[in-house]
Amino acid sequence: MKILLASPKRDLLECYKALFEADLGQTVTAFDGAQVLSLLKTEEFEIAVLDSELPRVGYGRLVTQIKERKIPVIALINEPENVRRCRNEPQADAYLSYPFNYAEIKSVITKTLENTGKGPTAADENE
Amino acid sequence: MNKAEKKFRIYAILVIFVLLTVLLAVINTVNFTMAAEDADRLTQAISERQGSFEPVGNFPSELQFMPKDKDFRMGPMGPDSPEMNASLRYFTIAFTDKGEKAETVAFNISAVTEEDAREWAKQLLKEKAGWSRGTYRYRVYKKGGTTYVTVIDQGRELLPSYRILIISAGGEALCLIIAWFVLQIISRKIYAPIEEADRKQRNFIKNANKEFRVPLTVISGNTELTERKYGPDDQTRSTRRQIEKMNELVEKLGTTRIFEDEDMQTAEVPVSEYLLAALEENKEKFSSRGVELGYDIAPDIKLAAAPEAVKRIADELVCNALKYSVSKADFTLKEENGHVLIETKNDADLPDGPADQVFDRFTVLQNAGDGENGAGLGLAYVKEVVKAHKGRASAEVKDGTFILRITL
Repeated sequence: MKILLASPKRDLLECYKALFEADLGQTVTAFDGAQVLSLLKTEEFEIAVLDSELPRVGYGRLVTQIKERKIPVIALINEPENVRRCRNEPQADAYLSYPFNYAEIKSVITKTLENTGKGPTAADENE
Repeated sequence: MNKAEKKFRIYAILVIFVLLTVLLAVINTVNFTMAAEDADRLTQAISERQGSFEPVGNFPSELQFMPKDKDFRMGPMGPDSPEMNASLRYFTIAFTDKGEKAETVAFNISAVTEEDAREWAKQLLKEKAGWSRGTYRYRVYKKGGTTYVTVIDQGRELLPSYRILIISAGGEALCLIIAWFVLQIISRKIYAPIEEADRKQRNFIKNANKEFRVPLTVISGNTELTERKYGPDDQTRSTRRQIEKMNELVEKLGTTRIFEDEDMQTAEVPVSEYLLAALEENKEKFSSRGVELGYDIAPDIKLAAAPEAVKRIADELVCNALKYSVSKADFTLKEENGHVLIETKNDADLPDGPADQVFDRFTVLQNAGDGENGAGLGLAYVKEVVKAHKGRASAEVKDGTFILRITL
């Protein structure tokens, strides 16, 4: 599985990339919206985990572009009122508010993949 | 304009209104009383002269504005003026044979005919002295077997008093309008720094809420990584506990702020159910802390309110009692005068008196038994919710018992 993890916070990218790679699969990171768009052109992803405040490209446009490629999106939201703002933008498949722990984000990723029919197959589980 | 500023303006204008009204009422009352006294002095003077004024004929050699004798208050401007005989409008009717026979003693008035005057005087026979037909002052007195009724017109003399009354009322209204504008300027000056401090506090909460979230997520992720690399130990477990505490604090800051937006969806909330659930959930904790828990929860109390907020109020009240009770905590929920009343009582080592400061953000009145103090946000949240629901929250310490009352 290949995950796109995008956040302007580099410490967060570093630490969660390591965790995702240990448990879920290859993780590619991006720290702004332009990088996300460029990665989408060159690589295939099973899921995108996206901070709602990425610089350079608006959150709504990014979600639309990702969803056009049939990639499920998990939006990471910082402020409670952003939840409302994000609900007015193109819909992500799941939302997760900071602060969260690794178990929570892992569970959200797994459930989102299952809900969108991209969950681990029997073959994956056997591996 | 915030609520406190609005209250200040209303109370200030009320105080000014009351003071001005009292002052003007006293001035006008004294003025009218003195006018009545002057009229009485005239009727008294007439009664002493057997019902009529004789021309004085000897103008005083010098005008005496200052009284020489005690009753001569206004000199030539008052009722003892030598011009009084010429300027006084009055009539005196003398009655004999128990009021059957009437004789005109003096008649120097144009508002009534002599016949009407006799009829009018007859109606006043049983009285002593006072006002009649608005501006006429009368006196009834006896000499020998004759009863005299003297009626004098005071219309012109009362006119200045009425003018003062009307000018007073107009002046008061003008003063109130001016005071209202001045109060706006003053209250702005008083409340601007308070609002500024409040704005700063809200900004701090907003920033703290926002800025703590991502670092906490990173610390949590790094702790997970460290545990994977070296295995969990006391340090990582302690870090996780502190992260949990910080997460709770951030959540509280977030929810407190959300409620300030007054963006609440109301529904019928089972208050009894929520409070009982919170108490049941924490029953064991009370017992393990050696706190005797008592409650009297009226069943099926419901309220139109924001469900999540009421649920959290119940949790906050129970957690607050759990943290700060020494040996006893009591909860009451009942309906009183159409309102829902929640009352919590717990023993506390605090001085007696009002304790409403517990509702201020980041205010903790005492140390918790286990040293795990709250951040002083729980009851601040309770207050915000109660305010948004137009309810009331108060706290006091009485005989060593901390009493918290919420009316919704």
